[in-house]
Amino acid sequence: MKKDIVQLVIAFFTLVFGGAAEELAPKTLGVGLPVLLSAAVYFARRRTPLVGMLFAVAAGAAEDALSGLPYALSVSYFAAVAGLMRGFKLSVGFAVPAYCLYQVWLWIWLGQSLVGGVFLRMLMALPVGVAVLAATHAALYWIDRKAAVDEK
Amino acid sequence: MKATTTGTLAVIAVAMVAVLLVAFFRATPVELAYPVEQAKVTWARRLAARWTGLWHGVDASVENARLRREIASLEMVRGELAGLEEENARLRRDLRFTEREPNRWECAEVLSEGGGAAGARRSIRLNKGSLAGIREGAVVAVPEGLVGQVVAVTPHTSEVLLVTDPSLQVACTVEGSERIRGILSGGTDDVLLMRHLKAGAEIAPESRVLTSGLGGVFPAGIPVGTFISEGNGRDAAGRHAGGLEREGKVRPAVDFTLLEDVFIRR
Repeated sequence: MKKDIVQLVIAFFTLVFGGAAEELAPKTLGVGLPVLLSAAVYFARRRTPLVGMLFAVAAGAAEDALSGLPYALSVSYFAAVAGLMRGFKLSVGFAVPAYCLYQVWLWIWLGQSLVGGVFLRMLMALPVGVAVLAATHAALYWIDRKAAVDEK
Repeated sequence: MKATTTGTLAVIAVAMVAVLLVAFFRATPVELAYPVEQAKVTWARRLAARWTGLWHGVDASVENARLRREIASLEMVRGELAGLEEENARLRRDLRFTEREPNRWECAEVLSEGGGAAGARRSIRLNKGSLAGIREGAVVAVPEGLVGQVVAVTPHTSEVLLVTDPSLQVACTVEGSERIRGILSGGTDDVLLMRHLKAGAEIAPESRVLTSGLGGVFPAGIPVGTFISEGNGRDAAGRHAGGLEREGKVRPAVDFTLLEDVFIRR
């Protein structure tokens, strides 16, 4: 029970601070820091399937709300990424191509109104994705270790 | 028949609950991130003020005194304007002119660039929301010119779509003898595109571009930018615009990277 509450608190603060970090970070060619997607990937790997999927949906909903995107655009993508991670037992590095393909997903739905060209965005998403993935995973892993809730 | 009615009511009830839930959860992430963003902005400003005070203490006190005098003189002007406004309203009533809503501007701080990681739109987030009386569709400007339009509101924040975003379209006129009209929208970062300009009309470079007030969304007379040059005669999809219409490039009046405080029209 105590472990569940600790997990819930970690998930909650990850959403709050992840969302705030995404908002405050400068955006190059429209590409921001994918903290929520990286956290969703981390939770998909290191939590039970249900918790991982619930966090992916919550993170997607937060992303949609913060980005002013149509309902469920990011929710469906984040949930699909979390599902693929679990189903095919993919490594956390999958977050990087997932973030690049997220630009294509946005372009499919938003078309010409998407800021910046889709190829430039994909190119930019590579280094940004790697850096944010590393930082997010290091931070969440450290928190998990300190809180003793790591399930792996 | 009764079962059909009950079923319809159930569907409507479920739909209403779903809409309420979506609306509630939509604002929640933004509201949760708001205190963190507000704290960052407040502390950054305090630190900047301390730093400036440390190095420019004497200059700052002199400037402070000058600004106090300026505020006092502006208060005087404001008093005079209130009298004029009252007189204007009375005369308009006497002449049976349509009542005009006075512009009320609410000052707000820029919290962040907004847009989450997706950054799909050019937007900023402000620290005033529905609790301060801000509504969707409100016009946002600074003394230099038009900033954009409020597209989403939560209790404490509002998201503003910048005039540089391709999806925001503003009816404008080019200042000059002919007052040529057109529709302005975002292009690349530095340049706006003005479309549907009348063919054959002469536009002098560096002419001011102002909101025309047509459409009723943006009030007339807000500066938007400066006309730089004629475009390549092609529309957004790359098609040739032909001889009837043409487009021009406009340099925005506002430097969006330096925005700290803006005014929202209530």
